[in-house]
Amino acid sequence: MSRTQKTIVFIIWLALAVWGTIGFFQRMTQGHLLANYGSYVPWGLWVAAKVYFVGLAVGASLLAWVICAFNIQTLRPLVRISLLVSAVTMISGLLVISFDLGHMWRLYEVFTRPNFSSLLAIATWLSMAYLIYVLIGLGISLKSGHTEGTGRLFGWIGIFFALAFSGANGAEFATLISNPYWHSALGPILSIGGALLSGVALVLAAGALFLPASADDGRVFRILSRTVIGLILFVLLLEWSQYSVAMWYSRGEAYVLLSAVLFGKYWYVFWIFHVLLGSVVPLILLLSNPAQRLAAGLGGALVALTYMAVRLNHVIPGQIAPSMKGLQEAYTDKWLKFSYFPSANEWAVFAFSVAVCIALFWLGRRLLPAGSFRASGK
Amino acid sequence: MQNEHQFEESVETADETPDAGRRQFFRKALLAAGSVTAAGTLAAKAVRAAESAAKTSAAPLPAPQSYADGSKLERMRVELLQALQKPVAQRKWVMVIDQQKCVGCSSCTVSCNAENNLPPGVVYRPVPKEQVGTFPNVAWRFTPRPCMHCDNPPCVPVCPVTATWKREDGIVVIDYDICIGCRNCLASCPYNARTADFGDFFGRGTPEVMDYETRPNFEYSKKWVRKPGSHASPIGNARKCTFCLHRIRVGVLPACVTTCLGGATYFGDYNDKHSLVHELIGATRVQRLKEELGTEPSVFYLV
Repeated sequence: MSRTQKTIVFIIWLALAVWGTIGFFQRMTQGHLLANYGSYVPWGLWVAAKVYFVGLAVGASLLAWVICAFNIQTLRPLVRISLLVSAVTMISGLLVISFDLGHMWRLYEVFTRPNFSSLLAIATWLSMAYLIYVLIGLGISLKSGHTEGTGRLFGWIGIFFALAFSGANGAEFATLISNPYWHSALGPILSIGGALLSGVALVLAAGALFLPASADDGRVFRILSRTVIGLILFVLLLEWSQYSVAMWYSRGEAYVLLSAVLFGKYWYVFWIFHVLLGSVVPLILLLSNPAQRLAAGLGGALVALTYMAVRLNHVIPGQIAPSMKGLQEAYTDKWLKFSYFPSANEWAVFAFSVAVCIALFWLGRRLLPAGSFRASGK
Repeated sequence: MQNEHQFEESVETADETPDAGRRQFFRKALLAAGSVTAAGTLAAKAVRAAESAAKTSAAPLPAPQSYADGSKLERMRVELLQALQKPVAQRKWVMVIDQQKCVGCSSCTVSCNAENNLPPGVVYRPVPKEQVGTFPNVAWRFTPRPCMHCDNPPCVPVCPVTATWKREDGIVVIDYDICIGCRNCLASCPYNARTADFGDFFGRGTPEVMDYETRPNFEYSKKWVRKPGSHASPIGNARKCTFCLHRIRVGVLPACVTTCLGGATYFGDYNDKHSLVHELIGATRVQRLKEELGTEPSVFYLV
C-alpha cells in the first residue's frame, strides 16, 4: 500500500469510527428507540448487514479452503489474507446482529437453551463453530512446516462446513412458509452463490491492496478476476431464474414484491447498486484488465461493497406486504408501518461494525508474524 | 429448560388451584387499583369479575341451558368456569368472530390495549377494515385479528431459545424472561399477529410520561412494569395476544369478548361439545384465515 492509499483508508476509517461510535452510544443508551424498523418490518439494516458480513466471511474462507484442498500453489499467498478477512467479517456480523436483539445480553441463551428446530439457532451455533474453525485454519497456515496433507484435509472439511453453514443461512429465510418472497428452494443456493461472489471479490480487493508485488501478480489476479466474473454470471443466472419464474405471468404475491424491488420506490438499489455498480462496471473492469492489480482490485471492491444492496433487497421487501387487507390502516403508529428506510442511527451502527471490521483486519495484519502474507504455506 | 419448566409450573399451579390463583390475582388487581385514578375502573371491573367468578366456582354451577334464552356472554362465562374444572390438557380454547355482527367499533382493540397496558408498536387485536363492492353497492368488512393460537404455529419452531410454545389448552405463550428479542417469530407469523415491544411510550418527547403508561400489566399472571429508560422485559420482547390467559385462569372471559359491542366475539372450550363455540363452529359459514398454510388456527370466523 502506498502512503497516499494508507492516508485515504485511514481518513475513511476515522470518519466511520467517529460516526459509528456516536451510533453505538445512542444504541446502548436509547435501545431501539431511534430505529426505523418496527413490528411489521421487524428486520432492517442490521439483519441485512449480518447476512452481508456472514456472506463475506463464508466466501472469503471458501476461497482459502479450495486453495488448500486442491493445493493451488499460485494462489497460496491468498490463504492467510482470505482467512483473516473471513474472521474479521464474521466477528462484525455477530456484532451487528447483537445490536438488533431486543435483549442483546441474553444472546448466550442460544447456546445454553438452544432450540435446534430453529434455523436461527442452528445458524448461530454454526457461526461460532465456523469462526473457531477459521481461526484454527489461520493458526495452521501460520505454522511453518505443516504437512500438505493436513492442509488439504482441513481445506476439504472447510469446503463442506462452509457450504452447510452458508446453506443454513439461506434456509433461515427460505424456510419461512408464510413469506412467498423468501420461501424459495433457490434461497440456500443463492446464499452460497452470493457468499462466494462477495467473499472472493473482497479477497480480490484486499489482495490488490495488501499483497506485496511479485512476479506471480499477473497470474494471481487473472485467476481471481476470472473467478469473480464467473461468479457474477452465476449469481445473475440464479437471480434471473428466481425473478423470471415468480414474475412471468404477472400474478401472485411474489410478483408484487419483486415488482417493488425492480420498479418501486427503491428501484435504484437493484438497478444502480447491484446491476450497474455491482455487476456491469466490475464485469467491464475485470474483462478488460483481468491481470492488472488496480482494475482487478477496483472491480472486486465494487462487487464486494455493493453486494450489501443485494442483501437489503433480500431482507426488506419480504416484509413490506401486509398479511391481510386493511391491516396497515387498522392501528397505526411509528412502529406499525409496512414501509422501511434505515434511520441515521441504524446507518451509524452499521458504520460502527464496518469500522470494527477494518480495525480488526489492521490489527490482525499487525499481530500476525511479519511476512505472513508473502510466503503463505511455505 | 429449567426456566421454561418453572414458568409452565407456575402457570399450571394457577390453573389447578383456583384459590391461589384468585388470591394472586386479587393481590395484583388491588396493587393496580391502588395506583389507578381514571383508568382504575378497569382494574375494579377485573376485581369484581374475579370476585364474581370466585363465588360462582365455589357454588354449584348452573347448567348452561339456564342462560340459553339470556345473555350469551353469561353462558360463555359459565362454560368457561366449567372448563376450568377439567385438567388443562382436556381444554381447547377457541375464539369465534362473527363478521356479520362486527360493527368495526374497535372497542375490542381498546379494551385489549387497556387490559394489557400496551405501548406504542404493540397491538394484539387490530380490526382491519376492507371496503367491498362499488358505489352504490358498497359495504365494509371487518376482520378483528387476535393471535390465531394455531395448532401448527409457525412462530414456535423458529424461536432459537424455546421462549415460545403451545400450551396443552391450545394457547401459544411467550416467556418474557427468556425471549432474546430476535423477532424471528414476528417474521414467521403469517398473520402479523406478533409485535415487538421497542421500549417506546406514548408520552416520549413530551414533558412527562403519564402515570397510566407505567402501571403494571398482568400478562401470564405475573406483574410486568415498564419504565422509561428501562430495558427490562417485556421491553425488548416479542408480544402477542394470550387470549387473556391471566383472566381465564380466574374465570373471567378475555377482555375483547366482554367488551364487544356487537356481541360478535365468542370464546370457549371446543372440547365441550355443548358449548356455544362448539355450536357456532358447526355452521356452514365458518372460515379460518390462510387455511392453505396448514397452521390450523384456533380463531374461527363466521362470514
